[in-house]
Amino acid sequence: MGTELSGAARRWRWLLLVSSLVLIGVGIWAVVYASDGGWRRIQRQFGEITGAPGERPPGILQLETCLGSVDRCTTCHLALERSDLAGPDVPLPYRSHPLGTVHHLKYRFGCSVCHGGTGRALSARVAHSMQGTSNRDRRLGDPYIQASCSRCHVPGDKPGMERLLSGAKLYLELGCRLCHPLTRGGRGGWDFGPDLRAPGRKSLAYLEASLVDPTANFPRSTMPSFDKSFEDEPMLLEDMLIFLVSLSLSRPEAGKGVRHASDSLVGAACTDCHAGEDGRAGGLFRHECIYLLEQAQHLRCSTCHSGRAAGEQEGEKSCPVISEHRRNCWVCHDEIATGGGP
Amino acid sequence: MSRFLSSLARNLRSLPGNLIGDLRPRAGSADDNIARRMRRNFIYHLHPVSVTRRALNPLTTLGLGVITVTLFFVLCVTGILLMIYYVPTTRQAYSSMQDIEYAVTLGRFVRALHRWAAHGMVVTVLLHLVRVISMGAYRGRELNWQLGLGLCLLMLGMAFTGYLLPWDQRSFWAVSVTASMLDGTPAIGGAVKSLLLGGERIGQATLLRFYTLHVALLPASMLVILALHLWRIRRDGGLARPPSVTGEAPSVPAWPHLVLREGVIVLWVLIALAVWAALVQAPLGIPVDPHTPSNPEKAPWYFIWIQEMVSYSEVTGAFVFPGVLMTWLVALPFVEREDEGVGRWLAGRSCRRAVAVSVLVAIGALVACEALYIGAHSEASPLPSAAGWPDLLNPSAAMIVLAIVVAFVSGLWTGSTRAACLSGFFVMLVAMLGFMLVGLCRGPDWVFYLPWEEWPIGY
Repeated sequence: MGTELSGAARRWRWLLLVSSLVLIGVGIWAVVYASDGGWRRIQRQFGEITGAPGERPPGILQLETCLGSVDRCTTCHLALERSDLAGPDVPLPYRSHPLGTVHHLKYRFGCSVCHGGTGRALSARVAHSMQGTSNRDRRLGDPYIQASCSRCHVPGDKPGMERLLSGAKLYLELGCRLCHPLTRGGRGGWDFGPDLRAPGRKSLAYLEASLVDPTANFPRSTMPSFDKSFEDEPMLLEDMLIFLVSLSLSRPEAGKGVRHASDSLVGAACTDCHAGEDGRAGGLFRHECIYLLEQAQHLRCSTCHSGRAAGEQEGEKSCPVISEHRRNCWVCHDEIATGGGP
Repeated sequence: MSRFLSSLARNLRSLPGNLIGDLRPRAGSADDNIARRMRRNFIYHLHPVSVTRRALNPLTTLGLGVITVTLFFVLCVTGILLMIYYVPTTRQAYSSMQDIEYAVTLGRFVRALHRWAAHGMVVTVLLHLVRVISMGAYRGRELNWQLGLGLCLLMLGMAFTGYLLPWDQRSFWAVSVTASMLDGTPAIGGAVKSLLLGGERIGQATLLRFYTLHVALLPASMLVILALHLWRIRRDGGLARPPSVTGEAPSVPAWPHLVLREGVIVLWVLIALAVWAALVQAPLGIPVDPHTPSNPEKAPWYFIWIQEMVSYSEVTGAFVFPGVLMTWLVALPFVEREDEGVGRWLAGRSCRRAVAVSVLVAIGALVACEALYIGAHSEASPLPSAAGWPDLLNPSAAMIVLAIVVAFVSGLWTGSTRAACLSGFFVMLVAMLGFMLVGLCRGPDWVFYLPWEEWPIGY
């Protein structure tokens, strides 16, 4: 028995040794496999492009934005604020940022507030995906970047968001809100379509198919097909999709609707006096426009009212509600007469 | 001067030898063997000096205890590493998780190790429990059995508290739905819930409480009870063994024979875990949105059987079924005191047959109950509607009744208390696993969808 056991012990000793070596090997493999240093390669190549190959790579770069988020996009997009690397000839990710939105850069809003993606990630695949998913974010470039404008601006408020405005008009024009109202509970609508504010996880192809042939994705769908509406102008279909994408976006720092957003961005406290029951625009000067009420989560007072706090006004008469409001109503009401506007 | 230099040179020359020799424990003046034993005294404290040959056979325990302890220590080490970066505030929790996942060197690997070790531990603890029950190994080890049950509950508590910490949509709503199960517990449910959540809803107070529980209170308690659990194995005379072997003196020295085998198991657990964690990332969901619940809101898989039962009835699901199961397990070593067959898998022909029949009956009954219940609650089915059914008429209540009936029938049939207790336990085990499977198949609005059926649009 003794010799048999000692033989077994010797075998187990060898097995232990072999297992330890396997563990060390697997450990090294796992460490190499799990580390992702793609950004180091990009930084080295950037040195070659700018003609300073010997320069020490800067390492992980991050932008702490005024909204409290952190974007590490500049680790690879190294030339965003340089003027000498503009234009489509420069390969990505080394191209500088188009200067149309220099205002945003100045205020350090960061990248992901408009372009989406996962700002804290360092691998291109994750960084360009929507947070927590593997779906590529559509707002990385034209034309879907226009959807992001709606996070702070009402459609048509500023130049550069024409496609979004066209989509918003289509939403009203085609009667989408009868089944897909943007208020919960369906203000006068039937509210039996899916909530359009939650399509974030669906791909563009899915949304497009749902518009052209609603039964393609869900056989029991009773939604009418809208392919006739988009037949002649395929651009309109894309406009609609831009608008749909914009609906699933929240306001930066959103949480309490209008009030919170206006407070954080403008420093005004309009809704202290003008708040409706749930903190939405209303109160003394309750908005009657259905579109405004439906969009309450997406708007702040200053998008229409110049963004001045009540304290800065000289008297009641200079309250800009009436004139400013009228001036901005053209956004929806210049050609089409939908809903019960003022 | 020259003497100083020469002795310095001599000491430096002999440095390599002394570096190893001096750090070794000194062999006393007594014989060398004792010194060697003293060096290994930690191992001698964990194990008896000698064990039976049976303890060396991997089939005796399947190594489940060793695997579980290994996973526990992996969880401790990786957990401490994660604590360095994790910030338990509602504003920063998800961001710090993203940092760990995307920016921290090897953070993703460490987090995956932690997550998969935790899931693995839930599985091995359950299997360990089933192994001990099947062998009747609680007999004569009543205290250690209760300690083990305590460890099992603490582990579930760890899993539950850890699930919230990533603060993503999935974890937020999973914990929210699990906490709301407490509403079904009469009398103390509401108080326990507000003690746990630090308020009515999940918020900053909840996150901090869960964090403290997860990194300090629960692991410390687990460590203490684990030490007692391991110590009691030795005090109770090693592994449970059949009476035929009881007379045989433990003849094999634990070192090296048992310890080497355990070492190999530990290493292969680590190897498998490292490969798995490197290949499969731990999921990090979309950022939390406390205003928009995902539909369906699902508890983590190891609690989903309770959620499934709560969807039938809060009382039976959250209170009666878990209560009966826990009572059954706690009372087991006192109700069942047969010495025959201890240490063998479902020892005795009648026990094996009784358990096999009970499992088959339980599977049949469960499928029938679920088909009837789901059918009666679906609009499309030809079965009469369940609208008028009383709340207590549901599959979980049926399975409890079945477990008690099966236990009595099997006891009367075989004349053995062990066969009776085990039959009842296995009926409840089948119910647990069955409800887990049904719960995993639930879709939006808690409607049952077969795995290949498509969920409606928009979810």
